[in-house]
Amino acid sequence: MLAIENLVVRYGSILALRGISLEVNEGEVVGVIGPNGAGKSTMLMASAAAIPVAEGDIRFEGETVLKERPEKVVERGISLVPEGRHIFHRLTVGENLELGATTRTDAAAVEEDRARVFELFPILKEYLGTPAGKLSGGEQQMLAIGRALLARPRLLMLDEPSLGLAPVVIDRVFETLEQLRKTGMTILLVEQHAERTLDLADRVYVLRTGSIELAGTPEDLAGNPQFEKAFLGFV
Amino acid sequence: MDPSEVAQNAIDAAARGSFLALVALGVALLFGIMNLVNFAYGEVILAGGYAMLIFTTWFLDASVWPLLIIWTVVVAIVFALAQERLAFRPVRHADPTTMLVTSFAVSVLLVNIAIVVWSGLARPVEIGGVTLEQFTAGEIRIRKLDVITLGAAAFLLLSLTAFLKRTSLGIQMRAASEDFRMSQLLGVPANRVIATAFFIAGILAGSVALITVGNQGSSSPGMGLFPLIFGLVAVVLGGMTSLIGAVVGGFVLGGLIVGLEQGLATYGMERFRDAFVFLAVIVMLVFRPQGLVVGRAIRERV
Ligand SMILES: Nc1ncnc2c1ncn2[C@@H]1O[C@H](COP(=O)(O)OP(=O)(O)OP(=O)(O)O)[C@@H](O)[C@H]1O
Ligand SMILES: [Mg+2]
Repeated sequence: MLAIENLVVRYGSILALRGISLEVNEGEVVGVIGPNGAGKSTMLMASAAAIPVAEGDIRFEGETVLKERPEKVVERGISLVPEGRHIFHRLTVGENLELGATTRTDAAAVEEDRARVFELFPILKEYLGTPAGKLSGGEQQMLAIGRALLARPRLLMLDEPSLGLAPVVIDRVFETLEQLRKTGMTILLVEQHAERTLDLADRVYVLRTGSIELAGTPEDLAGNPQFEKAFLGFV
Repeated sequence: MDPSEVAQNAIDAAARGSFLALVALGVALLFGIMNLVNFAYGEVILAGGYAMLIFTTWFLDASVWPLLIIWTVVVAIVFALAQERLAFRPVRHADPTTMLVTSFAVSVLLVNIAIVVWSGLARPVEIGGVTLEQFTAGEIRIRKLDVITLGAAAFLLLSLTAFLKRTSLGIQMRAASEDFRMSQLLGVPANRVIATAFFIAGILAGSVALITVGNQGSSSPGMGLFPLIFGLVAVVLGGMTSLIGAVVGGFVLGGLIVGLEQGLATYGMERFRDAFVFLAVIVMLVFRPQGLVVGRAIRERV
């Protein structure tokens, strides 16, 4: 579904991605873990066509997303919940959700999706008229995910959804992802919580200083001494 | 001061304030969406002013004022959109300094075109008696133009508010001005919101041109500069990040100007009005650097 091929991204003289390749198949949950500065966010932003790419290709359902405008990529079915959530603080929860459906033209189906988002996050329904900046961090993360779902994405990309949240709230986020996976949603998840990511994902990539260091199923990685030493020991 | 004098000054201040609020809104709108301080915005006002001159000399006289208003606003919109398309779109992804320099260049270019075509002198615009007409109520004299200014400002502010709150495009505009990148990630087309911002700024600038020419009875190459500078000050006063702040800043500045004029007149120092205005603004910013209205949520919640 998503194929990243030999992707190179530069920020001026900084080489953020040094030719990575990664694949996400339909219905899969793919995890990407790696330390700070590895290039995880860069990879997602490039896949959302939000930053320029130096070399390589990113194809979604066979067609490149490079040179596409970001809004076109959303229309084609890729939604990104970026690092830091980026909800609109001054807009109400309802307006934030409405913005999620910007590219939609099927009003009736949007209404169904809204109902589904409220099923997933009942709290959002209670706060519809509240400025989103008033929500707690966890609620803001739910809003960010709900907003992304309203685009009815075929590929949902999440960048460290657990960042800065309390452990119980993190559990809640991962439960939600588990529920979404059961609906058959294709998910590309960037995380620093290695263990939780291994529990959820069908396949995992390890990204370090702009290169893919390891890749495989959670079982492969859990048995890999190099991986255990780097990630699991400290969690 | 007796009550009628107070009322008189309040009306003056409200008229000045609403005029400045309109300019400030245009400036703040572009700043919010593009992080652009557009000095060439004054020249959209200028374009509106000379459009009025052209209308009254070549086409019709000002007695067909509805047509004059439409014509002026349309010309201003066209100029604003042309600025966006020709000057700012090519440098949209450049750093803010580049955009700032571009806006200076566009401003200087347009002022000089006006000078070449219409000379550096003010050219009288025949707009009839509206400039002089007054209502009287007891001691109070109200200029008809001030009433028109207040009414126009109220209409534009309410329409803009309704647009921003009630329509999808309006919500997209507010989203883009809070977090442009995120709005794009949700599928809001960058070109659409930016062009809309310039379109609205054009409407505001056209209205400002109508009021300015109404007040001074002429168009001149410098006519965009005064509103722009004071509009910028109003935006800074209001805190830079919110449209409400811009409106509040405009009214506060209007009150300040009228107050200082009255106060300084007692000492025969009216000429120093602007110096005192800027001094007051600087003093205020020392004590409240975030401006009067804090817009963008500064506190990120975890
Ligand atoms: N806008 C930018 N300008 C310059 N350098 C950048 C920019 N964004 C990221 N970088 C650099 O690119 C590299 C990869 O950054 P990226 O944000 O993709 O890492 P990450 O894996 O998401 O890290 P984290 O876990 O901290 O979110 C880092 O060295 C970072 O400093
Ligand atoms: Mg990151």
